[in-house]
Amino acid sequence: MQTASTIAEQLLNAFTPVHCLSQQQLLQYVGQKMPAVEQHMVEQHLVDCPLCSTALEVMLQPEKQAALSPLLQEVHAKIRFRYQTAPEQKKRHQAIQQKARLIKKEQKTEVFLKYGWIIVFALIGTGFAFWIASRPAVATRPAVSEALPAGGTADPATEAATTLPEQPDPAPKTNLVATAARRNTESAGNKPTKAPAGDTSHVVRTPPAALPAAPVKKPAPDSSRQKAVAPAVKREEEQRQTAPPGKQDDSLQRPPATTPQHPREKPASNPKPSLVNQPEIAGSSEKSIAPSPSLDEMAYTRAKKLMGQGDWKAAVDQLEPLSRNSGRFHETANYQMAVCYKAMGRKGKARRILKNIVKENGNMKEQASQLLSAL
Amino acid sequence: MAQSLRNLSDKELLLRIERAPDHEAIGILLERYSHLIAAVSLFYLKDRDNVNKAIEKTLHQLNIDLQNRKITQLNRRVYHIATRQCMQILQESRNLEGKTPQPATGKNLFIGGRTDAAPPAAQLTAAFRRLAPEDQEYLQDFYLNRQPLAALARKNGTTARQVLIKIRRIRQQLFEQADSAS
Repeated sequence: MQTASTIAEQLLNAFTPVHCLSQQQLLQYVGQKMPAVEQHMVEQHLVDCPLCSTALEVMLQPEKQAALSPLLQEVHAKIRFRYQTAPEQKKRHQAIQQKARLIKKEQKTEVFLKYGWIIVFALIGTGFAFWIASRPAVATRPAVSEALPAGGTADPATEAATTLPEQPDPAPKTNLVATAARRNTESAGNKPTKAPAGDTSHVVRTPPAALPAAPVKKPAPDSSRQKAVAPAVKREEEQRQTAPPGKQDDSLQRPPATTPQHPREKPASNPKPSLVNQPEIAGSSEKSIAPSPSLDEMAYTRAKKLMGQGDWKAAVDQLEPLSRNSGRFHETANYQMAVCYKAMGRKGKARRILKNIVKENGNMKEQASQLLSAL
Repeated sequence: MAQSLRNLSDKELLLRIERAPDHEAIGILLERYSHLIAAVSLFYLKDRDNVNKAIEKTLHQLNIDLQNRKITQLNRRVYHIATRQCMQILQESRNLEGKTPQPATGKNLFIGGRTDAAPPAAQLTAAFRRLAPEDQEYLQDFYLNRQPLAALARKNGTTARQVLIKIRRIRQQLFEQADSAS
């Protein structure tokens, strides 16, 4: 009989924890290939551990034991992949995350660029639309600047005369000119020259000849210019009378030979703008050169006539719309308005307009500053 | 690094994980118990897909528990989780088949309770003396005379599994009596 102490000591072993059995140990135990001591240790653990005893039950069934080994290979592979290759996996994961972040950034920038381009195109489109809308007013400017001499001229009539032949479409111009001429002659009280039926060239040519026929206070006429212009006019008239209608149309499209001479002569002969001689010069130039004046030109000419007649207020009414427009008569109309206001005794208004002209720094700047200093 | 971790015991690995979350240590522990988890899953489930599912769920739950809980007896925890997952899968499959869910089959071999710490020797001896003579003989043959289960089965005319279950029940009884006396 064993003593109580040895029993207690042995029984305490029953509560001593033992490691769970490995697969190999289980297989050894099932195959009874274990030493007696180790076998007893395993059995002690089996009593204590439900996990290992259940596993042993499975090991004792051959079909389940066969199923266990491939299953275990899969499980081990999964565990190793998930846990033991963690640093490598982390690196891979980080690389993937970085790539994803880069892709996101690229996508964002692409979206921003897309919107940016859309905005740019929209702006360009609106700009182009505005440009097209403002094109007719701007298109005439280069022609004026080309026709003007280096010093610039104060006479808008000559400007018109020099630029008009360059305009591309003569057909609508003839109608416009014809109506304008009719209005002009009606206002001036003169009868328009009779043109033969069907001959459009006559309709076109008559208004410039009729325009200066309005009663104008004529101071000393510029004899040299008249000499230069008169033979050319005479020649044209002779050609018109002799040439067939088709040829006359051709001559209509060609610019007159005297046009470039006039603006060059003007600044030298008449540098100082004066109240009296301004309309006269315009009239003389219109007489000989301007073949197809526009509506603005007609209004300007009418204003000049009114100025010549001393009807300053009516002249201002005619000039005001021209000065408001940004066309080629804008600056000269302003200048003439200043002249009118000066004549009306409204020097303050005249000064303001002249200052504006000087500020605009255009072709009329010099004349405007001279008149301003005179005021 | 992995090799040095492999040489550590469960207790050391659990301490390491407790100090700071160690992915590799968790992996080694899971690998160490994977064959037992797989065996438990195979024991309760017939379908291979269900077995795989149960193993997957058990490993996942264990990973969470190891990171968040203090586990003293890992084998018991593993067994608890594995059986629970198997029972859940069994119930789910039975629900899908339209059968009424039934409790787990009586295959559970574990009867004994938790044995966190052994009771004092005096109480243990006293409790041993209070056991039935047949039970005392079983314990004496197995623990003191170190007889194998197969020999005991032959002696008593039963199977080794029956002897194992009996010894487990007597051991549990002994533990409870010693524990109540202390």
